[in-house]
Amino acid sequence: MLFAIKIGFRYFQSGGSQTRLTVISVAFGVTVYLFITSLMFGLQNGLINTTIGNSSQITVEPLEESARILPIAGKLNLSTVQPFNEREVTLKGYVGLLPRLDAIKGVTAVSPVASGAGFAVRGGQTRPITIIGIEEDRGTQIFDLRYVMSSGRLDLGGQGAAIGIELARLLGLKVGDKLKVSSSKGVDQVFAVNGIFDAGNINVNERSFYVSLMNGQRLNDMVGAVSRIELKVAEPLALDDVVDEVRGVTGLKVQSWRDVNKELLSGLSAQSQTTTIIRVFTMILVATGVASVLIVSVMQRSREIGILKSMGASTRRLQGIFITLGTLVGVSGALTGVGFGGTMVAILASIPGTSPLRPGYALPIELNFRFVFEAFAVAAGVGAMAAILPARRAALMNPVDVIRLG
Amino acid sequence: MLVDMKGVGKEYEGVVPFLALSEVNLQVDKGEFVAIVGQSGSGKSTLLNLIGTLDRATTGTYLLDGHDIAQVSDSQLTRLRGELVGFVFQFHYLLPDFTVLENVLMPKAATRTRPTKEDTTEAMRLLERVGVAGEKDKLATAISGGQQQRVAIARALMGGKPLILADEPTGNLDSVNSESVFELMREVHDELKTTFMIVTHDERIADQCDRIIRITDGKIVDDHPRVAASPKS
Repeated sequence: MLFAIKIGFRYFQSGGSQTRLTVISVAFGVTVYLFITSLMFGLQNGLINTTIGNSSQITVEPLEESARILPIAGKLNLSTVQPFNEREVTLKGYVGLLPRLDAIKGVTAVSPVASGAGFAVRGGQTRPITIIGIEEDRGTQIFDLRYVMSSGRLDLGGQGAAIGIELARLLGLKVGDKLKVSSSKGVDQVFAVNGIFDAGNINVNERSFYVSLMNGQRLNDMVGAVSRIELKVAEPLALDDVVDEVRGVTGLKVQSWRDVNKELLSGLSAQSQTTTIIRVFTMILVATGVASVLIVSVMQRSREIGILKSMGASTRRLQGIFITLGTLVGVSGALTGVGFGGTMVAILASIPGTSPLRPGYALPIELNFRFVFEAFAVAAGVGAMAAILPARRAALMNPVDVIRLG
Repeated sequence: MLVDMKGVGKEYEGVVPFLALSEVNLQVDKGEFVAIVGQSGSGKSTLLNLIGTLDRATTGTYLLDGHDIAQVSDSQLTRLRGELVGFVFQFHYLLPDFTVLENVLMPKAATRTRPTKEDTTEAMRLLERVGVAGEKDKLATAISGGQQQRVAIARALMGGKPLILADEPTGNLDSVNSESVFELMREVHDELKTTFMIVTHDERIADQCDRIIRITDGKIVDDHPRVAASPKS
């Protein structure tokens, strides 16, 4: 095979502007491939982070209770079953579950939550709120309130509470003020506003009222129990195995972010498909570019191919020459493209700005070395594969025809 | 017997099938120096291609150095050709991206993994023999037409092939180069006893060969040894 590589390499060296142009077109193909992949990756990450980055990705809830119909011997039962709308079920044995959930591979955060409806009252104003009781350490691993504090700090100890900036505005509250909270279970308690946060979502800013887990349990009449356990995972896009394991460990109702964000999933899926289509077409362009230059090269060198055949060069060796040539064009173009495209993406990804999908940067584009490697491997592979047809054509040439007629 | 053809014919398929050769009976011994002459389109190059196994006969039997060409596979035929036959064409067809020495080594490289030190020594000896050893490191395109044809002869001789087939080897050269290239082939033949079969339409060249085969309309119409030695000019 050294023979084929040597001749293929020499053909590549002497290819002139024709080969250089093909290398440039492969490089641009790789650049487009890298750019599109990095942009779509950044967009996808941004969308996922914005949507589920600051919320539970897997939620463990109690099993819903339902009425059971007593069988009547020998008679057809046509009863209609009404769900227990008014019955609120809680997780009583949650303390024992926490270490078991912590131990599941892929789970990065576990936070028990005691939540329920209530009202915040101050002066003559009353606003509906959702009382959310969390353990400060665990809860901040799901949604780190400390990073979104617009004033004060996160301190849920004692009678401390953290409220949204919108609720604070509506009730005229500032850090250090006190207010009364009445829960739907008829429990009243006075809280001190230790922190005011801006979660970037008007509903959360207006409704969420964070207190300690203990206060949440007391207000919602679920002492020793919680409403749900929230989990975060290392790979939000591939959490099916973790969901199954959580379901196996708890035996409870387990929902993932996928179950409650079907529209987002469908959007992400459409985006992925579009990216795949663009990538495939880019690589088809690369392949046709390489194939066309090789076909021309085979035509130009047909007499040389005939001579090599007359010398006893086997079909495999002749094919090897053009596959080497195609691989060299692919690899050179891929290296140039990876260098150029990688630098361009790295520069674009480092421009500071205010992208809503990538805080701190202007564009939601992220360079991932996996993509760089993938772009390189795909272009080099496509170059080699694009050479197969011209190589076969060369190998099937009749030496008599090409030597005499060209 | 190096070349042994019995009743060989070659018909090209097409809308109108064309019979290029018919009923060729030809025997050539090792060490002969043969001219094949005829008008354009008479079938002489077709005959040379069949002898060189670049093409297969449609009828008859052909034994090359005892091997029945009809019975060997394409890959075996390629290997056999690489071992037994060297070609010299009207146009030298040297590989332009390679040096003179690399071109001479090409038949070895084409059939092996890598030419050996002995191969390089042989190539250098052949280049010296054809008078272009001083140009060994130049690209094949950087030497004159006469020199290129000499390199092509050295390439054909590489590996000690017993049969050299030359298709109008002097057809593209001026009279001086034409004469010297022919003389070179003659000298190589005398020294190495290599069998030469030269297709030419130049009667002066043919007259200097030991045996002249004349083809007309795809048939051998005359096959005789040189009757009287033609005086060399």
